Amino acid sequence: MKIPYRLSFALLGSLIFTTCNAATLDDVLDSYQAAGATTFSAARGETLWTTDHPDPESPGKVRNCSTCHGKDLSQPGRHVNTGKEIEAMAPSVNDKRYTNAKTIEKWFTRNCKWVLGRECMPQEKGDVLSYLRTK
Amino acid sequence: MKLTTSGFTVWLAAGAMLAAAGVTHAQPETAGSLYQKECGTCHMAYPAEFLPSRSWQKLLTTLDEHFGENAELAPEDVQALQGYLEANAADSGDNRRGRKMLQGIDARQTPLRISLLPYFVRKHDEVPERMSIGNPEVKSMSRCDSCHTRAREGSFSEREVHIPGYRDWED
Repeated sequence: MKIPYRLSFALLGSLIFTTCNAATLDDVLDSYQAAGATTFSAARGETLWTTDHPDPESPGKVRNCSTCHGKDLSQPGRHVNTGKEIEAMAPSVNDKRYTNAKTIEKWFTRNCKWVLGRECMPQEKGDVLSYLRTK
Repeated sequence: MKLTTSGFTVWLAAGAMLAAAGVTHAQPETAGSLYQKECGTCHMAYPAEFLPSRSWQKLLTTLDEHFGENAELAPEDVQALQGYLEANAADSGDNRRGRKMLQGIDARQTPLRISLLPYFVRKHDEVPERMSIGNPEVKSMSRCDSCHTRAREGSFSEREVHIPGYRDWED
């Protein structure tokens, strides 16, 4: 009788572990709503992800998220300047994605400034994450 | 036997719960491992002794314009990296390699590109461009580990150089 009890304890631990990633993403989305965002829309997120913005360094050229992440999110991207491979954004093929809130914020800060020339609003970040998590 | 089984189960459960709580590292993160993680994601984390303290200070306060990239970090991470880089910089304590890296650098200068240090330039002046920046597998002098096979461990011995697409450098 003792072993099934202990086993169930271990299984519960594993269950918490496997649902942890989704919990991180939900926590991040909750924090955006606490900061003023309303309901999130994957469609709006897709629009933001694919919209072109003028490249301040090369007149006539544009930047968008796929400039480095590529068009197929289940495939690795490539940094447009350094050529460094960027792991796939789709959580369906890359389970390390969206597992760390601090990493999510770090890259939003850097990349929103690079693509949009400004930081993203909590609503925009939530929309983009809602889009990316479907991939 | 029974004790072993129960012990194992408890450890398994404890491990799973620690992982669930996000405590995946057995040891606390040191400033050195933070440096490897944060600065080694986009390029090799260059040895701190390759630049003087004032250069690291300048780099850390201009991460939003980091050689054409935005490389901003959370303020608490910048602070931790500051302590680490200053403590291990070229001009910290008795640092033989650091002194070499600073050859020909005036105390009023704040070099930012390791690849432009006179010592670096002199050590690489025999390497033709076709093997370095013209080499599709190297592309840039910033990618030490393309040719220095043990660069990530901080070792840059000439014996360990292997230029991709060319025979061993010493030949």
